[in-house]
Amino acid sequence: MTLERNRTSILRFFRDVIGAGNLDLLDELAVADYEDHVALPGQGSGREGLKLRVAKIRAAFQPRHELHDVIVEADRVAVHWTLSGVHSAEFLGLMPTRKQVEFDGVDIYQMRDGCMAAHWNVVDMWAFYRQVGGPTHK
Amino acid sequence: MSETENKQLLRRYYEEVLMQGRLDVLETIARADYVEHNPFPGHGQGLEGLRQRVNTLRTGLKQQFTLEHLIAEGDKVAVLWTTRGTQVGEFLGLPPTGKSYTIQGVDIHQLRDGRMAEHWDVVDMYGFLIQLGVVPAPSGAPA
Repeated sequence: MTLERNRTSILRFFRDVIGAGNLDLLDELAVADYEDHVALPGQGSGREGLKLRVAKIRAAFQPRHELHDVIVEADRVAVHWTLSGVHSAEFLGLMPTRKQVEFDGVDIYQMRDGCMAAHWNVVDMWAFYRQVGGPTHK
Repeated sequence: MSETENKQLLRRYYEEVLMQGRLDVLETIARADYVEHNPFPGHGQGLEGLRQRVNTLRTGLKQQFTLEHLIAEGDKVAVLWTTRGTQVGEFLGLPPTGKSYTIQGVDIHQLRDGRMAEHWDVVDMYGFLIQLGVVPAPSGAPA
């Protein structure tokens, strides 16, 4: 069933790709022309850009994602997570602080043939910045 | 209630309650024991807590929501929205700035018996505070 196939792909993405660092698995889980509507600076386009994104997030946070909800309807999936980790590498211009961080986000994926095809998200970056101590109030 | 009906009910929340200010509609679309998992500071729970939340939002902010994604499965609905707003009044301790902003957020709604029962959200508060001029934009990025 398409719903379950889509759910399984997203669960594998979080467990095996983001969690365990198996970037090659993206060749199976994402389409080559993957479109990221919230690309990181310098991410680049398509599936190769997604690999760069995942590598960057893994290096920056050594993240563990707790998934609160995986909501699937037809060809779209919403994932509400809490990321816990240590700010270990440069991220969005902020040098590593080695601080423990924890913040929430929701990713939305458009799927095509069971593969991730497009992505939007909202992440609580304000929580992140407060936890690492910058940028400060004006 | 079907997933389609759940989505229709939530559209009423954004259109009639949040945008038109019809707080009486809440009695029809939300449960008395409504649970807010991300309450504003000092706010209560239940239908009264939800009224308080909508009042706080509408007093502080004049907002136009666009619902970009509604994704429903079972009794859960995720809504990714864009809001174009202006801070017209005091909001969560911030004195009115009169500034306009465009931000996104995601609400996760749990429905029960065809009514809003629980809520979680993730909102781009950082983008909001930058655009209000309360915190500086990251170096090199446009404000």
